[in-house]
Amino acid sequence: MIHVADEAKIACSCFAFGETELRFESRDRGWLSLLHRRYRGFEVPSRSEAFVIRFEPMATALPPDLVSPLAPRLESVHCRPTAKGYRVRTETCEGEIDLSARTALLRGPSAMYPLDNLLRHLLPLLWEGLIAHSALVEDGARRGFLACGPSGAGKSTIARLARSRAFSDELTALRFREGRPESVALPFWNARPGSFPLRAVLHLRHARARHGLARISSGESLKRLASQTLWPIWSEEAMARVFACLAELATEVPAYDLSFVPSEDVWSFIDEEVP
Amino acid sequence: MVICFAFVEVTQSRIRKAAGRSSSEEGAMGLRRAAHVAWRRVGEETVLIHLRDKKIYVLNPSGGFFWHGLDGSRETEQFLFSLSSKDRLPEGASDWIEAFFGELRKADLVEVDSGSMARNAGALPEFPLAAFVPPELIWQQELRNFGASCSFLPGESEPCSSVPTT
Repeated sequence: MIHVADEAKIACSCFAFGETELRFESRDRGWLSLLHRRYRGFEVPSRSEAFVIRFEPMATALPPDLVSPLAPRLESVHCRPTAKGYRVRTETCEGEIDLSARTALLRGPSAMYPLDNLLRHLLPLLWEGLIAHSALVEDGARRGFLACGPSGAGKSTIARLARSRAFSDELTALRFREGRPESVALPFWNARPGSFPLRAVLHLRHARARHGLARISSGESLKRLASQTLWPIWSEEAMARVFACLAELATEVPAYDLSFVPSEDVWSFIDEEVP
Repeated sequence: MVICFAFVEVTQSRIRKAAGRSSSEEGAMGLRRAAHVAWRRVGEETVLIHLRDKKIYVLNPSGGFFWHGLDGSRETEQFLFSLSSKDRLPEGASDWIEAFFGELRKADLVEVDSGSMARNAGALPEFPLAAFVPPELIWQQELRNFGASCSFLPGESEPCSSVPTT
């Protein structure tokens, strides 16, 4: 639901990305309605302690290669520290993040991709753990499988084959709570809210003929996870925090190399083979 | 005894050379882990991240032994002494160790602590392997907020390529 705030017809909507609550404010109702389509299921009541992102639409045309205002469009992001936070700039949009005031101002075309690019840098700064380029699938017993790998490795495919057990197919937030690994689905790209203790990490790759599963060492798992982590590279403090979480994840959670063919039986195979 | 002293002198000379120091600078030779490096032991390996250069490094178990000992309170030669006393140093070992310290310095992972020699060196942990293995930086990678992602939203974006990633 879009709420109309008092201030000069600015409307707002609030969503939860894990336990990070973001309140989006804008005069652009069309943009706010895009949020509701993209983040469907992640809406929460507006709360005063939420991090506020205010969007100001720029009167520029959408990039011609953009199929829809909802479509992702990855642009090179230039980020530099400021007195209060960070200034983020891409080819077509710009943002100011004020970490102490817990606000951000975003300017760009009235589409979702400027926000995608801002969140890619903001969320790792706000989350007390790490954000992995991975799908999250529940194992049927309220524990989570983290399925990760670079673009093309099969995250979307493995999530699609998991059907109702899939919770996200692109980004998952991870942290340790009382020493136990917890995974949280983030609303990218096809996702629904869910949070589970983590059972295993699956490092994905495609197979030509048959499924295969092999345990890998904690060191190997860390190397692979390191390249699939959203590193908050502009903050040394946040980098150190993410690194601590990554090392704990690689040490504490069993990891496997999963080669799979995109067939319906892949999750039966995983359920049987992963101890 | 004469042989032992000769070995020590040659070793000290080599390490001074590797570190780019002369014997006149002796007393300022305590290498320590740089403050801008975070590190953890993960399994048998030791993982470092250079927080300023945004790079991650992995050391083999032997490299981890030397890294853990780099607390600034000891001369680098002491590593050799601790190993040589156990007859674990094959010929050429000092060269490998020098090269390893050189790599750490080149990657800006260690720094020289000029005041460190006033402190007492603690005991080194036991070398983790049965035989000497050259310490090495075995893997490194630049850290990034990755920028490429397949992102298919039915009806809103193009389907992802199904080309397997190698």
